[in-house]
Amino acid sequence: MTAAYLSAQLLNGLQLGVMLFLLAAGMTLIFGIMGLINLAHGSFYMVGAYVAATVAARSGSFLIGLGAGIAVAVVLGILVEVTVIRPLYRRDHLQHVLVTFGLILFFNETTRVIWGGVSPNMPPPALLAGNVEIMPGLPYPAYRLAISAVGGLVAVGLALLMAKTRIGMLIRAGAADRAMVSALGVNIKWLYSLIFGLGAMLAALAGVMAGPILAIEVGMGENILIQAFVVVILGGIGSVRGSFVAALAVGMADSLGRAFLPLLLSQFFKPTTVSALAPAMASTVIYVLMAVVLLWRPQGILVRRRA
Amino acid sequence: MRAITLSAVLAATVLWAAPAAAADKIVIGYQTTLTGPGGIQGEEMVNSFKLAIEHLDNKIGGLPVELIVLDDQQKPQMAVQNARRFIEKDKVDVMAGLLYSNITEAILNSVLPSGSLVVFAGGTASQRAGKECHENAIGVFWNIDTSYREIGTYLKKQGVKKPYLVALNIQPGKDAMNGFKLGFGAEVAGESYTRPDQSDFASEITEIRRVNPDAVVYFIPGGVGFAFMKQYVQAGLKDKLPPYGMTVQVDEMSFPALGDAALGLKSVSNWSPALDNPSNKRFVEGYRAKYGRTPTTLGAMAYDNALLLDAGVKAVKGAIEDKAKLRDALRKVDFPSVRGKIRIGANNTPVQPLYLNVVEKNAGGALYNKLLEQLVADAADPHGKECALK
Repeated sequence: MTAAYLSAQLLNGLQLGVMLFLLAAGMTLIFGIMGLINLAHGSFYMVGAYVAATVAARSGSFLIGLGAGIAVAVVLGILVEVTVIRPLYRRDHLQHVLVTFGLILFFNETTRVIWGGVSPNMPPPALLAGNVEIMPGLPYPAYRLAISAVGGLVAVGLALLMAKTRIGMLIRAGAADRAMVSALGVNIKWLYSLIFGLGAMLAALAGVMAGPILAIEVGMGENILIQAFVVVILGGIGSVRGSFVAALAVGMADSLGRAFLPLLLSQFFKPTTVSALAPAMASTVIYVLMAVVLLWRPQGILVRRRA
Repeated sequence: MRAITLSAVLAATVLWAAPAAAADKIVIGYQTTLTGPGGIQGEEMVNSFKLAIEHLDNKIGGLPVELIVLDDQQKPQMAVQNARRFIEKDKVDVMAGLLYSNITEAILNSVLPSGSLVVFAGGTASQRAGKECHENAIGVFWNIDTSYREIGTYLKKQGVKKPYLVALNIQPGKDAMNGFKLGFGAEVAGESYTRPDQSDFASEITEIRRVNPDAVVYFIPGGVGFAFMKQYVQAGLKDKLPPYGMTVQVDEMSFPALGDAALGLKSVSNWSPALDNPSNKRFVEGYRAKYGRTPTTLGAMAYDNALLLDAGVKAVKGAIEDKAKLRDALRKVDFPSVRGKIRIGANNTPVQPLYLNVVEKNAGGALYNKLLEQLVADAADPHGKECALK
């Protein structure tokens, strides 16, 4: 075990955590402020990736693809909020789940009709295609570092948005007391569309960033959605800062679990036992983490218990 | 009551008359996965199966064909329901197709006890070639562990000392790596088994870097496999350590997703579009003309599925009501496979050549699998000795 190896695995955890944060930030806002369980959040992730891959291939520019993917997802997000989601706010969570699950099926099939069954390719931008030697003996893919940087920038940007702007103030107020915000004359409908659009934007950004390292395929949003839900719950529903901390914790736990459990187990067991046991144990690490956090702080890592 | 008596008499007459007379048509129940992520592969199978029937003048063994195609939706319970429909409503003579091994197993377990005949192109669990073999279940496909055993033998011959294995943590992944170890015959440098829903492989790739093996062997099919390969290439490992796998992981289905990341990857297959035999030429040229691209191994298996049925039905001169006779013919018959010279082994699993391919670019700049060499002329799977069939 070398310092380079440990650093590489920590970077892997950081990068996975940042990807989860991008998805979870939008979900926690929508869940916390609007009280909406949005299972279709992963669909914006998928739409962002598909549109970006297509536009990037046609235009030859990753950045134009990125812009197009995000723009389409935001427009689509606001459109869905206005037409499908709006009538749902007064209804209970079971109906949210049913309708947004329906949206998943709708988006998946529509994507298949438009793009067909073949998964499109999206290479990373040429500038970031290679490896960077972070420290001697530790080459690391530049694109993965870029993902971490973008995630960090988004986290800072969201923090500023929430703390320093009028919209951020309204969002925080909406999370604390929806009825009061509405009573004070704030157009809550407009605020909700905005938040939903913001969520779609973050999801699409995550999808586009994931395009060059994952397979762009129908249903790609649903796989990562489960982990994103874990992050939302751990971070405390509605808390963006909590999501950030929880996403990093989940990313680290998952990456480090996969890396170090086999090494740890091999101290005690035969290789054949390790190869059977380690994958099973590694896949439960984040859920064990969730159970522990929920026992310790059921309201979420950074959320104060309400009196 | 009279109707029942009448039909009983009729049935008796038909049964009595059957051995001599040829049937007037053959009803084939074909099912595979046509929706979901595997849908595109199932579609190629159906296209190839239909193409074969077209090439046989719309007949199988001289009999007009009634083909019923159903989608198993990649769900075992749906597949079993479809199979019941085939037996009870459509009264099919034979079932064909199939893609995913868990679905093939579900269908075989449900229909074999009732005496149905299944001639399939899809994967099975490895014990289906051994302990669980059944005379009525005839496969035209390949065994995952046989392919990986040959990769192991090949790498051993190349002087590889420290191979590293990465596979999905599912039964076929375990089969693949056990097959590899069988062929390699020595200690491996390390192995990791990944979750089927895991799409980030940074940990595993960092681990490969730490272990510093002299070869990497992987079994990660489908979308997560694309993710693995993209990340592996971005880590800059491909040029030094191109991972070895099965060609179905790097073929015309994967090229759009992988792009140039696929260049230089070596893989093992039981078929290649470049094989020089009349059946294969007809298949590959016919498929290219009709669908505008080169077919993949799954298409070839589906085409062979039809060719085997054709040869079997011909061998019994169209008298397909005698299921036992038809089955014996199918197991023994010499058929003009697109793979050249192959035969169905005693355990109803093919004994066939295996090839090594490498992804290159052709003159037009398109990716294709170039046939490098024949690894073995008659690869039989390692499970046959556990099968009681003769």
